[in-house]
Amino acid sequence: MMNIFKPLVLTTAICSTVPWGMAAPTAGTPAHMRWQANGQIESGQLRRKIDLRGITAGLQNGDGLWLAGYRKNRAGEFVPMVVLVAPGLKNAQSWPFKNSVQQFFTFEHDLYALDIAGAVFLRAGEKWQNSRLAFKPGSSVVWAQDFLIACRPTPDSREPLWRGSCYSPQKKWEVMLDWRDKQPVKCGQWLVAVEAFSPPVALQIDPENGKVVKKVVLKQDWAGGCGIKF
Amino acid sequence: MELHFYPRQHLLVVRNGRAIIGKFEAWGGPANIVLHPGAMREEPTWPGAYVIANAVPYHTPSWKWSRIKWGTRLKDMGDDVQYQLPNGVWASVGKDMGISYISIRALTLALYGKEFIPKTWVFNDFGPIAIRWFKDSNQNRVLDRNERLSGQMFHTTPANEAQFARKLPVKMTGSHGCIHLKPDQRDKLFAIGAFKPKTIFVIHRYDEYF
Repeated sequence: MMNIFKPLVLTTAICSTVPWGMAAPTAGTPAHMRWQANGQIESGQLRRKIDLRGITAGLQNGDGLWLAGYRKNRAGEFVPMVVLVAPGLKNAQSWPFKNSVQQFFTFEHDLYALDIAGAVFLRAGEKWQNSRLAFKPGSSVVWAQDFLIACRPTPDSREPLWRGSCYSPQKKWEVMLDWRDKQPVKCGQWLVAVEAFSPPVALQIDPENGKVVKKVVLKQDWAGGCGIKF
Repeated sequence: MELHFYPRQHLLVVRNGRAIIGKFEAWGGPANIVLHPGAMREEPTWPGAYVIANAVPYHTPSWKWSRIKWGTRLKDMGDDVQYQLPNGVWASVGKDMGISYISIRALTLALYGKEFIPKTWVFNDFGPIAIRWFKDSNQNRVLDRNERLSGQMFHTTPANEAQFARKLPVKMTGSHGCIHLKPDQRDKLFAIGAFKPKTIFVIHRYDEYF
């Protein structure tokens, strides 16, 4: 079963209790590996700190734990990096990326990395190569079963550069949606999104064609998940 | 000197008596109120006779990216951006503004075509400087206690500032009621003294033409 790991929202406290990220491993992978945004990795009793900070995405598969974050280069600049930490935490490989990677996802048994420009890279052997997939900047994949659906939020500036939407490159549809913080989710056979109105409006969307099949006004803010009753 | 804004024509005229000193492109709000559920409404740039009050680097708690003044010094920490407070102390953009490191990198990519953390804050929705005006009820050209600054103002946008910095065509768009200016024309208007406090400023009706 494919798992998509959502970007971790950082919360920092004076006592530095940095939350752990953990992606439920794909089938056949070893024990859970978990990570903190500051590069601390754990697997069972094993611990290791890698040279990676601001970790924004993680996914565990048979290769180990894939992480995306930043590392300082020789010029003193923080550059986007993807790191693979092998099971047992002994080995770590890294790859520089031109743009920040915000999500790893698997689709049709392949591993992909999606960056903030919307470019998608395919894991091929020891390399990351350009893939045939491409999304709009700022998108995240929310559906990767038989076909892909990606969504990007309406930016929260006074005059947003674009309007949020969900879309499927394979099914060739796009539905404009004013969602902001809470990413749309796959709930059974439907895509569920909540528009950030006051009050919020939840939409049940047919993933085959992007049509809104049901709409309900929520009495309170949506916490995420599939608990909305349509 | 007087300023005259003709909203339909996207035109700001600077006059000195009968002489036209200059004409500048300026975009205001729509002719009628437009409501957007969950988003800021668009309203006309309200016609009337006003007086220029001042020009300030504007910041407001109402908009996340506008809580920090344009030009505030920044430091790239690799997982957060720090901004410098007026007393020189460095504070966290992530903690104080709820703006994540990756979203700052994403916005520079969208605005400047490449991902980086700038040395100064270039994301304030009101640009480097906002020119404020008020309704002068007693015509003394002074902002008295019973008079209020308009919530509308002249300003540039982060997108237009980025286009100008990149030497790209500056694409103007309508506003929610404020008056958008091109960055170089804003500078020219300052240079000719158009935004001096106490300058008369007339916003014409949407059916009036120059």
